[in-house]
Amino acid sequence: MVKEYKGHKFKSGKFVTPFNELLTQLGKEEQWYLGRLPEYMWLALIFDSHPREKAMILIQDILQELNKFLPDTIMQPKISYILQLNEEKQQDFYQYLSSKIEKSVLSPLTIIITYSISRPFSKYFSNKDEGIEDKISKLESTIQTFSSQHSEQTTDIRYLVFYYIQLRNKIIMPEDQSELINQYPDLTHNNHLMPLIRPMVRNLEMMSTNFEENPNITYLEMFWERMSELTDCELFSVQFEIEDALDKKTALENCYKELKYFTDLFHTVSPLDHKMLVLLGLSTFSYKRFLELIEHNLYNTITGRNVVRSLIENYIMMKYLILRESEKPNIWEEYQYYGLGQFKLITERYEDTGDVYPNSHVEYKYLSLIVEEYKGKDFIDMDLNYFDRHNIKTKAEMVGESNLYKHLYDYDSIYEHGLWGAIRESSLLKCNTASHQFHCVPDIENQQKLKSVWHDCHLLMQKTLNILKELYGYPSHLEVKGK
Amino acid sequence: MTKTKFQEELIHIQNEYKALLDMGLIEWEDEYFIEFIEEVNLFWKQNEPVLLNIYKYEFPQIDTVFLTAVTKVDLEYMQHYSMKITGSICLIDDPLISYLNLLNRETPKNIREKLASVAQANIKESLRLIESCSNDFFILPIRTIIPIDIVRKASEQFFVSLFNDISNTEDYFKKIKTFDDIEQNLKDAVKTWILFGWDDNGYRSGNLKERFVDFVKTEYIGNKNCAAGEIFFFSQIGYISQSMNILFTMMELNFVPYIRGIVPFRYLTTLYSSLKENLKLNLDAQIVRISISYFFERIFEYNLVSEIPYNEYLEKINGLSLYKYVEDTLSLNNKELYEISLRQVDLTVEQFYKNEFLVRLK
Repeated sequence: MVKEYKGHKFKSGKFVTPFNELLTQLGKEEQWYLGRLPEYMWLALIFDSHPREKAMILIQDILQELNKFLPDTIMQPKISYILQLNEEKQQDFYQYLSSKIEKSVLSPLTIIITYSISRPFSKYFSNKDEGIEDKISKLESTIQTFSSQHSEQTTDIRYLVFYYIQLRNKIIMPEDQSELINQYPDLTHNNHLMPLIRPMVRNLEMMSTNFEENPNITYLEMFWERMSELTDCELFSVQFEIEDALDKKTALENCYKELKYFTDLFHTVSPLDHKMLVLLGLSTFSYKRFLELIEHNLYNTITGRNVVRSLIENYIMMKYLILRESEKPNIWEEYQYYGLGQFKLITERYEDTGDVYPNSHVEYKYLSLIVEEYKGKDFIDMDLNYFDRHNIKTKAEMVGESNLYKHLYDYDSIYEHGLWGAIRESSLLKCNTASHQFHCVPDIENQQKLKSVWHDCHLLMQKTLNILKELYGYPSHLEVKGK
Repeated sequence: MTKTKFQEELIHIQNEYKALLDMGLIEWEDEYFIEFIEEVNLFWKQNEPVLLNIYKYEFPQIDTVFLTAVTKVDLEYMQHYSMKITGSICLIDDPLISYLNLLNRETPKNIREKLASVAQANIKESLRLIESCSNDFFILPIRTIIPIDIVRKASEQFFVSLFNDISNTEDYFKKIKTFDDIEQNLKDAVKTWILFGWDDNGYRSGNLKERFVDFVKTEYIGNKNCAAGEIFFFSQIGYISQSMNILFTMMELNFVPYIRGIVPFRYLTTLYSSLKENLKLNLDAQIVRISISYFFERIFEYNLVSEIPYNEYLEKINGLSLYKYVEDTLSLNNKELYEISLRQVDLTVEQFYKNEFLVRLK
C-alpha cells in the first residue's frame, strides 16, 4: 500500500498535502484580493491617478493626516475605519483630502460608499458629470490592476499600508531591515534591491492582519455585492479543436469488417464456444459504443468520456479473463452469470416493490427472460462484489495496463460519477470580471466543448480487436495499411 | 404558498427601497439631497438585472397590471382597491426617479417647485401603500427598462407624422410658428383626438384654437411668450412620449397598463392603432383590458369601500375578475380589436360593477 505520494501523506483514504498538514488557509477577509483590496481601493484610486513617485509622496502625506483622525487602536488605513468616524471628523478629513486630490479621483467609490453609507463621503466626492457606467468601469479596471497580490502596483499599495502601520509605532524591527524598507518609495522597481525589499514589504503588510481583532466583514460583503450587481459577466470558454466528423467513417468501416470476420468465425466454426462468445460480446459492446461516438459526433462531449471509460473497462476485462482462464477454465460462464446475477437483483427488486416507475427505460419483464434464458433463476447467485473479487484497478495492474487505468480511466470515472472536476471542466464558464471574483457560471448554452476523445477511442478499439486477432488469427491481406 | 427565491429577492428590494424613501423624506432639500437622488439612481441600476429576470419569470404576463401615467397612487380614492379586481399581480410603475433626476438638473424655479411637491407626495403615498398592503403591491420603475433616447426618437418621429409635409423636428420648428401654421398643417384626423391638458374635453370645450389658448392661459407652465409652434410641441411631446414609453413597455413585457386618465388613455390607444400595422404589434388583448379597467375606474365609487379594511376587502372580492367577466361575457378572446364595440365593453363593465362587485360588498 502506498503510504506517500509526492510529499502527500496517505491518511484514512486521503493524500494530505504537506501544506494542509502544517498550515491553516487564510480566511477570505484576510486574503489580499477578497479581503484587503476593497478596503484599500481608495488608496489604489489615488495611486492610479498620479505618476508613481508623486503618488507615493502624496499618499504618505495623506496617511500622516489620517493618523491624526483614527483611534490609536486602529493599525490599518482601511476605508471602513474612516467610515466609522463621526460625520464631523469625516468631513474634516475629506475636506483635507479634497485639498490634495481632485473629486473625480475618488468619485468611482461613491457607487459603493453611497449617501446612506456615508453622507459626507458622497457629498465630497460625488461627481454629477460622471455617469454610473463610467464609475463602474473605473472601479472595475482598478480592481483588475491591483488584483494580484504580487504585482508591482499592489506591492506599492502594500508598502503604503505598511508605512501607515509604522506611523502607529507598532512595529519593531532590526535597524538594517528598517533602513532597507524605508528606501522603497525612492527606488524604481527595476532597482537591484527591490527583489529583496518587495517580499519583505508584502510579508510585513500581510502580518498586520494578525493585529486586527475583528475585521469588518460588513463593508467587504457590501463592496462585493454592489460590484457584482453593477457589472456584467465577461464569459469565456476554452477552445479545443472540434473533431471533423466526416473522416471517421472509414475507421468505423474497418472496425466493422474486422469484427464481422470474427463474428462469421463464431457463427460458422464455434457457435457454442463460451470463450469466444464472451470476448466477442465484450468487443461488440465496445464496437457499439464506438459506433455511437461516431454516428452522434460525441468526440468533444461529456458522453465521449463515458465511451472511453467503457472501452477501457471492456478491454481490461477481456485481458483479465484470458489471464485467469488457465486457473479457472470455467471463467467464461462464471463471468456471464456474474452479470446475469446483477440483472436478477434488478428484477427481484422489481418483483418486491412493483412498478415504481411505470414509464422507465428498464424493461423488467424482458430482463427476467434474459436472466432465465438458460437456467432457472433459483440457480443464479447475485454477487455484490467486484467480479472475481478484484476491482478494475487491480485487474488493470494484473494485465499490465496500469497506465490506461491511471492516466485515462480514473479521469473518465470522474466524468462518470459527475464529480466537481468534471463539472468544472465541462459545464461551467469562467467569468473574467474582476468584481465577480472571477467566478464561474453554468454553461447552459453549451459553449464549452471538450478535448476530443477520438484518438483514445480509436486506439482502444484497435487494441480490443488486436486481442481477437492474437487469439484467433487474422489474414494479413485483410489488414488495413496505415490505419 | 412557498415563495421562490426571486420572489424573496423582490420583497427584499422593496424593503430596501422603503428604507431609502424614509431616509429621503427626512433629507428633503437638505444639504445631502443630491446625494440621495444619486443613491436612488444607483439603487435601481444595481437591481436592474434581477428585476428584468423577475419580470420575465415571476409575473404572469397578461395577468400582470401596472398602474402607470400617474404621479402617485391615490390611496385616498382607494386606487389600490379598484386595481385588485383586475390582474393577479398588481404593480405600481414608479415615476419618482424621473422627477428626482429633473430636480437634479438646472430646472426653472417654478417647475422645480412643482416637481418637488409632486415627488414628495409620491414618496409619502408609496410609503403608505408599502406599509398598508405589504407585499401585495410592488412599486417599481417599470418603464425605465426602455432606454430614454429610443422613446425620445420614436416620439419625435410620431409627432412630426401628425403634420402634412413635415419631415423632422428641425423642419417643424422652421415651418410651424403660429397657431394658423399649426391648424393648416395638422392632419384632419389628428384634430379629432388631440387634447390640450387634463381639463380639455375635446370639442365640447370649444374649437381647436379656443382650447389651445385656454390651455396656454391656465395649464401651460413653460414660457407663455414662446411661439405657438413651440408651445404646441411641448404640449404634445410629453403625452406622446409617455404613451410611447408605455407602449414599448407593453411590447417588451406583455403586461397590462392600468390607466385611469383620459389623456394617457386616448394617446395610448391612438398610438397603438396608428402603429399596429407598421410595427406588426399583437397587443389587442392588452388594449382591450386597458379599456375595461379604464371604464371601471370611471364608475368606481371609492366611498363605498373606504371603510372596509384591506384584508377584509380582499376576502369579499375573492374569485372576482373584471377582465375575465367581460371577456367571457362578450367572447372577446377570439375577436380582433376592430370587431369589438367599446360601447358594449363599457356596458358589460357596468353590468359587472352592479351585478358582481357591489353585491359582494353587501
